[in-house]
Amino acid sequence: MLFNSKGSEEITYDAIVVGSGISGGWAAKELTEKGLNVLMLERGRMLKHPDYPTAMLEPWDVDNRGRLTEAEWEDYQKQRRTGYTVSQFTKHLWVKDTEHPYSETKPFNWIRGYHLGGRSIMWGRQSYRHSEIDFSANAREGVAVDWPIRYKDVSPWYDYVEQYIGVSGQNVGHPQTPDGKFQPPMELNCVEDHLRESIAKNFDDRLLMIGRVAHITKEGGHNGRGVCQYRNRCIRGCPYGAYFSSNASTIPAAEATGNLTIRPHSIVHSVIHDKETQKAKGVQVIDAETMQSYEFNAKVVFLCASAVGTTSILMNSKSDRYPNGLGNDSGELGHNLMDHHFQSGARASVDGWEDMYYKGRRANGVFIPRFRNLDRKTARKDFLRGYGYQGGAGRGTWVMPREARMGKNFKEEAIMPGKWGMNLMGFGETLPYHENKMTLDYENTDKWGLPTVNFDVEWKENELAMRKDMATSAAEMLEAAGFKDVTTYDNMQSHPGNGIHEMGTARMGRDPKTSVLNKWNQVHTCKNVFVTDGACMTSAANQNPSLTYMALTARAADYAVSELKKGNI
Amino acid sequence: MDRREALRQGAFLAGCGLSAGTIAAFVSGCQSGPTATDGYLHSDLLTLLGNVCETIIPETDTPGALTAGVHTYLNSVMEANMTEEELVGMVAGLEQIEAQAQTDHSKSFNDLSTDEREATLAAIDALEAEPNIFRMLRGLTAQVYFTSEEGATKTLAYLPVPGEFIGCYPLSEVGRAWAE
Repeated sequence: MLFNSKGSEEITYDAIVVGSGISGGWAAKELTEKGLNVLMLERGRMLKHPDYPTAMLEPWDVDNRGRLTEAEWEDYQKQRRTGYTVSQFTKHLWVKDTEHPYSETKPFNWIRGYHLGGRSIMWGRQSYRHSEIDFSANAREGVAVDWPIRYKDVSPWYDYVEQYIGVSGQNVGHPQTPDGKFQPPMELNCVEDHLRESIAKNFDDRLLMIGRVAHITKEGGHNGRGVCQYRNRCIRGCPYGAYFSSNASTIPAAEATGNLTIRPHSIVHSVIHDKETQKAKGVQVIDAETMQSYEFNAKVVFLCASAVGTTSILMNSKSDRYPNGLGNDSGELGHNLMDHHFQSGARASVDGWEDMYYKGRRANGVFIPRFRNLDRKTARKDFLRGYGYQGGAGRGTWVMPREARMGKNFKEEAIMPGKWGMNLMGFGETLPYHENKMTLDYENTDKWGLPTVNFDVEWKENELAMRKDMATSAAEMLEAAGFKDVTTYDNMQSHPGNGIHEMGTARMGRDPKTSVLNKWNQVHTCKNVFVTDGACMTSAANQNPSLTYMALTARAADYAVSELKKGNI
Repeated sequence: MDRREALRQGAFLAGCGLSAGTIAAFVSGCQSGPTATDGYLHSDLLTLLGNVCETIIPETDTPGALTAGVHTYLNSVMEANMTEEELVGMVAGLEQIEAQAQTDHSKSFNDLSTDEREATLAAIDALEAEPNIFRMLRGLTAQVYFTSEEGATKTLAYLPVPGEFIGCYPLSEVGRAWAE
């Protein structure tokens, strides 16, 4: 172990990476592979691939057939709000709200996992590039501030990241969902393929494709990671390493260099600012188990603690130079909090294909790229930006028979797959509103004496108008395909945060007066501090954001190392 | 941990919130506790419960509810999951089934033929009042059975590690629903 055991001693690393999730894993891999001696700080426990204790368990192997009991739910009152994340199979991967409290001026779901790898273990794995349309949207519409980068700046890094992690998908030439470097796509099932054909025939502006998902679908490469086994137990951790996680991919790569030190149970209290050099000197850490304080020093600090985590650290990094938090000259730190709004769409039952089924549990669905506000022809008067759909078709398992009440006939009917059904759910872009914000509450501290987070975030007119179109347009496509019982839904209980895509609280921009980070994810006024998680996002787009965090992290790490070599930081 | 131990430690099943309202009403607690060891029902009623469950999902070329241990699972978790009122309701419901058997056939439910048992339960099913013991047990039996090892691995099509995904696959090749 390289880290010191006495708070007074100082050890200097080349770089400190705070967090070990999607972004932290990439920062550690890139920085160590470029020769830097890196300390990775993780606030949660150690979790080594492939140590996923529930990965192979069945419902009858666990308590309560997989569900939490009411007594157990007491610890997860906010984490449970998603409705799907916490179960007997996964509860060890999500924080207990009783141990990690936060408060809400307006309802906000802050869904977290504190362990090595963070949410890269439980993430949804959908991987889409942001496009030129997305990077230029704020400037074009005069919303918030302009991204300081364009698609061409990130495109080679998307190539690099996609090939390294393995993304299964298909190139379709869509302007807002750029093509990439993909593993073989997964298959659509019969009903989804019918919908694809129907949409191609009936809607000039729309297309349906299989989702792009960070799974390996072809043998070979990827440092011995396995191929997807189609178990759809991903959220418990994949013992095959078939989908991308820090634990299966970037952290082992960083460790293989011999340049990585991982310190779990390390809660970063603040970044230490050096008045003389106007740079960060290192970080102050509280050991989560012993409560002891440590100081770790480094030439460069990468904050990858997730948008809210990173922003909390910056806000708590107060000094004479930065009384309102490190890098917060603009006053934008903590503001412009975004997520994706979703759970508005339509579903239908499907007559036919009764003799057809599928084999395997595909951990992926269909994707319909955004088709609103792409150009003049698709411009809307009622909202800015747009949404994509994710969803799929399937047949029910052990559907309760309607006619047969009991006995042999009941059993025979119940063991057959049910009718086909199809669901299309919109995932919409949210705008960066200055007043949607997080703040630190110093009155209510956690068990480590750190301030807790308060959220004040809401969907506004643009999101609400978009949700109506999400539901209507989904129904329109299902109707056109000849599906039955088409019904729309709009779950307004889907609070901000439910998408688990927190973004924007330390945004990139061109002007230090209105943004926290520059075009290299570097704090404008404190050049050796980089933020490459969701906090950096200037706009949300409607795509799942993790792939973009990875690309921006690799890009920023490359820049940081070249600046270090030049002696600029 | 063997299956029986797992069942004993477990509580009322998955999907308590997904079940029909009548079921949810009856087991609204949906709590668990590892403390229930001997079960709640005395042996006659437990036998009756087993026979009711088996009447709902009988042994065919695959195991029935009795072999799957549906009744012993329910019995082992009942006390920890139901309110006092619900437990009383469960016992009263099972006694109602027994009384129906005595009225219609002058025999204990446990001594009836399969046809007679079905007729007895159908008579209960015809009653409109809720909660209805038959409709409740119909849902519970299906849920517990299909998430049991026997139900999932021997009755449904069980493939824990498919290794491939084929989007359009003839149902005739599978013959039944996949276990989830």
